[in-house]
Amino acid sequence: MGVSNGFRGREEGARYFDQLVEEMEYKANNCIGTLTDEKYRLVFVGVPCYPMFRRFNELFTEWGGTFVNSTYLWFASGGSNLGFQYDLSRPLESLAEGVLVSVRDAMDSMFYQTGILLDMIEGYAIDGVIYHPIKSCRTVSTGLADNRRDLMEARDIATLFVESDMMDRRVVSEAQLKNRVDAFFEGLAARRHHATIGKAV
Amino acid sequence: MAYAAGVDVGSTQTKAVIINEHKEIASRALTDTGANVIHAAEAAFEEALRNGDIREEEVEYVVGTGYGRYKVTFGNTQVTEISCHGRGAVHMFPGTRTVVDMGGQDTKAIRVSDSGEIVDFCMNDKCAAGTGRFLGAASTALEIDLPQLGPTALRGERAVKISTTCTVFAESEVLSWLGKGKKIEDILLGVHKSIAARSAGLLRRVGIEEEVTFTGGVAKNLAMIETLNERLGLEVNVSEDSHFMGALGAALFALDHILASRSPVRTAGGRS
Repeated sequence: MGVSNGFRGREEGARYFDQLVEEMEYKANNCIGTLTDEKYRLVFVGVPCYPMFRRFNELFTEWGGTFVNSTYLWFASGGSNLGFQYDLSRPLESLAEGVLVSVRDAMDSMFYQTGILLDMIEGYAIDGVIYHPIKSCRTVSTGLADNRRDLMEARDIATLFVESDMMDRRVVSEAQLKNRVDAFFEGLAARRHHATIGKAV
Repeated sequence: MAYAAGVDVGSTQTKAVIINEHKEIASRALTDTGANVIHAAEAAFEEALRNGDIREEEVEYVVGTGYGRYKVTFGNTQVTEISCHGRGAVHMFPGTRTVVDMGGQDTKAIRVSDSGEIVDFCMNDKCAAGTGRFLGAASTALEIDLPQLGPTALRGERAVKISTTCTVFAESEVLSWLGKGKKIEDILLGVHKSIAARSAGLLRRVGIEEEVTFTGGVAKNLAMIETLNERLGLEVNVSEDSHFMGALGAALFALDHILASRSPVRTAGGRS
């Protein structure tokens, strides 16, 4: 993400991502990964829990859950905006339009999530969506509860809503997070079990 | 006869339930958790064995649940209390689709399928607002024993508004209402209404689908049942065994293991 933000539109950035794609494809083709027994494929919505980044991830990998996509890498790296061509004959209007469109593209993953997540669910064979609002950034956290409800109305998909923070350890409780994550996977296991015997949960 | 057991180690009390192969409760026991969680789990289980005149070796599988579930050292496995309350509630009231569980340190809203599995759930955040602890704070401030809180609140006529959402500050607010000369009954009614409002908020986040079953220790409180009914505009199911619902759910999960595998013994690290 740092490269995406710091080297946007530069040759070094493009080279880095070309090599990254090559490396990731090699790993995928050779089944090389930190999680060898993948049971559940997940999407992460929100900002990571940096105060216990590794442990947070382990709460999921211990159940065989792995994050295969996220909205974070989209909005925190400036979104999908590939650039805006200003109209120099109307500079002020064009500047306003450019800023508006660029910000919207960056923020679509927050404010118009459902469509994006539905595409991810299909494209990545997702089993569950994890919402992680944080205390220290209300901008990206406000509305996540409603977004989650909207997604669940649009699609029968398991979701988990866990709150902590990106920087403040005082509002991060591993025990409470674990309890919720464990319950989420218990529900996911039951959902899969019933799916295999042909009964919807 | 084979038996299955569930041991629910909660923040304030530890509950044990033993069921037979017909999913009937054969015995139950309740003890204060205290500081020694391992001991509390053992004590509750041993008391349940005594109460039901059941030998330990007759219990083929034990599931631990609750915050201290990993301290049920003689248990075979652990299941979260979220799953267990859902399972127990549907067993007691098969029409249950939503569960509200009020315990000592958290309140949970759980939406369940017809077979008792979790569809969605929501819990209070790190603070204890809207939980049994909130009632504990009011009990301390007003010098009224916990069992008397409900009956006293039901005598209230004009509930005061408890506006704070923090359990610690709620105690201050209760004291300030006392200072203003409000009746204890009206203050307590206000406390119960405040908790009901917060619980209803949690329930709305998972979607309220009838029937709603009220579980956990606080479900013994009649004023809490009444204010919750009023707030939700429906009548919640409440069992005599509401505070054993988590342990019952755990025992049902234990029975699943027995029926699936007919495994005759508990795993290494067990008591047998």
